[in-house]
Amino acid sequence: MIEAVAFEQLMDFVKNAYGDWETRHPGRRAFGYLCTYAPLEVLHAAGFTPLRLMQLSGPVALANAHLPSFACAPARAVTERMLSGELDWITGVLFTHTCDTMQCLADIWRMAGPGFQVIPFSLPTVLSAANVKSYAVAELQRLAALLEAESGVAVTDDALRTSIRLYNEQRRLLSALHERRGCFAEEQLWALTMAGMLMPVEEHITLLQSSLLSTEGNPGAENGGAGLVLVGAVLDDPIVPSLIEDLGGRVVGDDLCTGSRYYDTLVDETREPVVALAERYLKRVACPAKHNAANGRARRLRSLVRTTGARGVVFLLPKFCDPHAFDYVPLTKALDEDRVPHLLIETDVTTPTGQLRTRLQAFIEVLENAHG
Amino acid sequence: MAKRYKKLKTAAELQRLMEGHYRQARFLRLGRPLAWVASGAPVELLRAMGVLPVYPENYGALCGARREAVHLCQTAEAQGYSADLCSYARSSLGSMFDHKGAPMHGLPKPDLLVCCNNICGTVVQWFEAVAQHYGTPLFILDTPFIYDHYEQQMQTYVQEQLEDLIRFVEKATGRRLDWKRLEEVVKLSNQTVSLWGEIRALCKARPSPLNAPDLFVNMAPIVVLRGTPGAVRFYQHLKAEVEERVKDGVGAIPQERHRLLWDNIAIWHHLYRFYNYFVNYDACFVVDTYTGGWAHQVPVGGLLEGLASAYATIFLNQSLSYRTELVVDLISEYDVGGFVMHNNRSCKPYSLGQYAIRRAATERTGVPGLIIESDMCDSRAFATEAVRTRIQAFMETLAAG
Repeated sequence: MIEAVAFEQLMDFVKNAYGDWETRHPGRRAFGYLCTYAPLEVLHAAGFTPLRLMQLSGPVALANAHLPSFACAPARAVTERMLSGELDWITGVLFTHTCDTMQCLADIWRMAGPGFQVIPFSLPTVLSAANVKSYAVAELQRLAALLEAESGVAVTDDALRTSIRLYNEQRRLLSALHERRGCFAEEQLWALTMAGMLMPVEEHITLLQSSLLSTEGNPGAENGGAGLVLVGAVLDDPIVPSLIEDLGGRVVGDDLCTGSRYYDTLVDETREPVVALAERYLKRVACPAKHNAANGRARRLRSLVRTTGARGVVFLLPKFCDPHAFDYVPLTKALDEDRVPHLLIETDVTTPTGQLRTRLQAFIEVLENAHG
Repeated sequence: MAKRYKKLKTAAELQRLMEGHYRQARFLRLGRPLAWVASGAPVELLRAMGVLPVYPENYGALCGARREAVHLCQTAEAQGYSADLCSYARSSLGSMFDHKGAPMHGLPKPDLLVCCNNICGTVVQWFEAVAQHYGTPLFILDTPFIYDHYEQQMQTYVQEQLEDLIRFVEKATGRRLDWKRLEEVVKLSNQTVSLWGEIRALCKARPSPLNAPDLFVNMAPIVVLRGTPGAVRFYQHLKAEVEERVKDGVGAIPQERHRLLWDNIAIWHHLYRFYNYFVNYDACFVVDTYTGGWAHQVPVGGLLEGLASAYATIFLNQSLSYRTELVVDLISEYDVGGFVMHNNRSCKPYSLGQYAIRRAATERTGVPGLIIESDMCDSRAFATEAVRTRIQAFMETLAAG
């Protein structure tokens, strides 16, 4: 639970993070990133403050001259931010290779000639490939050298260890926050989570510590409604979880890249730092754009549904997102085998909330009736 | 309408060759295991191990050209695949779910699957779906995308995976790699590739002996039969015929007034019809970026080393700046006065950066470019009248310029 005034301020920060970030955080050099595969520890150790660039809200106009209609909304919206000059104050943007769209976007940005540095780099796609770790380590080292050259700050093992400890702490706290999600309104949980990608990690740790402290002794006010798991990419607004809450359902877990895919799996603090970062990269919950011979995604979703006691799964599929669109088929097949109902919601630049409410309501009613 | 397509004499040979390829995969395997492979996979290794390859992408193109892709796509969509996904993937998956309604009853069931993400990320998930459907072992060769330089660690990573691929095929098929045989296959592959490059270069002549549909139809063997004597023979014959056209001053179209460059995969369902819109303006596509994707040699030296660098550095695995250079170079080499980019909904890596490439290439060369949104196989995405209007406006500008 957070105070109403503090919450309003937090919400305002999250929704308008880029506008006055510089004045809010004097002396810090922000380095943008788009994807959870960006090694934040390396950016941090090089003296930068990682800042995630997201759609969040806002119209798209300028980006239409740079991207065709079949590019996803997240790509269009962040490109709009870049073209509008809203991000001109940042030092650079790090693109980590994932899907075909991100692959092209890095170059489209470089060719548009923004007022900041664009650094793209390619970590492995096949997480189970032969000697994949050596390649990941070599690429992380190359990135560290590039960032060092940009910042003038040496990325030493000690600096990396400090950054790793901080981000591990953030992951632990986010994990604890989501375990105690019953103590927060969905909108609050969303804002507290997103803030971690928008504010300096040190400040976010303090914010989470005080938020968690406020829940001590509070058993949480879970409404006892049907538990749902959310699967998708970036949750740019809290509309869906808030509607679920309004309609008497509960979100009990997620496979989102602004949710558990951000904080899942700690970096091993006892290992050589770059090696430990590569190891986390390979074993954390994978984005569907990555391949693992062990086909971990369906197995993980099944276990998530089982351990959370969820009665249904809501897929939030960004229109034109190839990795999630492909992924949807084997995941729903696994759920069908387990007789777990699921609902598909396609998201775009704007989401029509009226229709969304009706569909979620019907879905939750079906789940509750099925359980009598 | 006058007949605008000048048929090549080798067309019958091409048809026999391709029919033979598909017949062999189904009926004449002689105990050889069958692999489904992606167009950017190092097929030389498979051939040297006695594995017969078939190409779902080529099959998708074939379905598109026969105008049979839409119902196959719909079959895949009914299984949950989004209509916004690649239409080769949807056609292929549709034919897999429903053999009966598919051309040639789909591809025969594979014994193993080999793909490489040097062309796109789609093949990874597409082949995962095939692997899951048939329970077939899958190998994905991971070629890191080259934003700036082909780093030593990328070469090491790809080469080590090739060694792993050999072990994978040995395990899946019980066949061992014969290095002598690999050397022969690579030699044949390089011969095929050189011939194809020479044929493309003959189109620098005025008038150009070939137009884009000729290039697209005749590229099939370079993709699916690379590394076989049959492909070498075919391209020798094709080259002789194209040389003859050049010698006699015979052009691909009745009158060549405009020389154009094509970017992206063909619009298979409107192949001749679409290019004929341009023939109406005496415009010939003398060169394209796509069929040149198979015009690079495996470098001499260590075989695996050469295969690794050849497959990791193909143009679709390189930056938009690299691709802009390619377009700029082709514009000057082929003396081209305009370029047309197919903004292909099916192919994001090829299409998303086209606005940036067009801007940069026009800025550098002064040559204008037209972008047309469509889809390579899914004809539901083709707006005939809108496309014709845009072509008309573009050609009128070119004629005035």
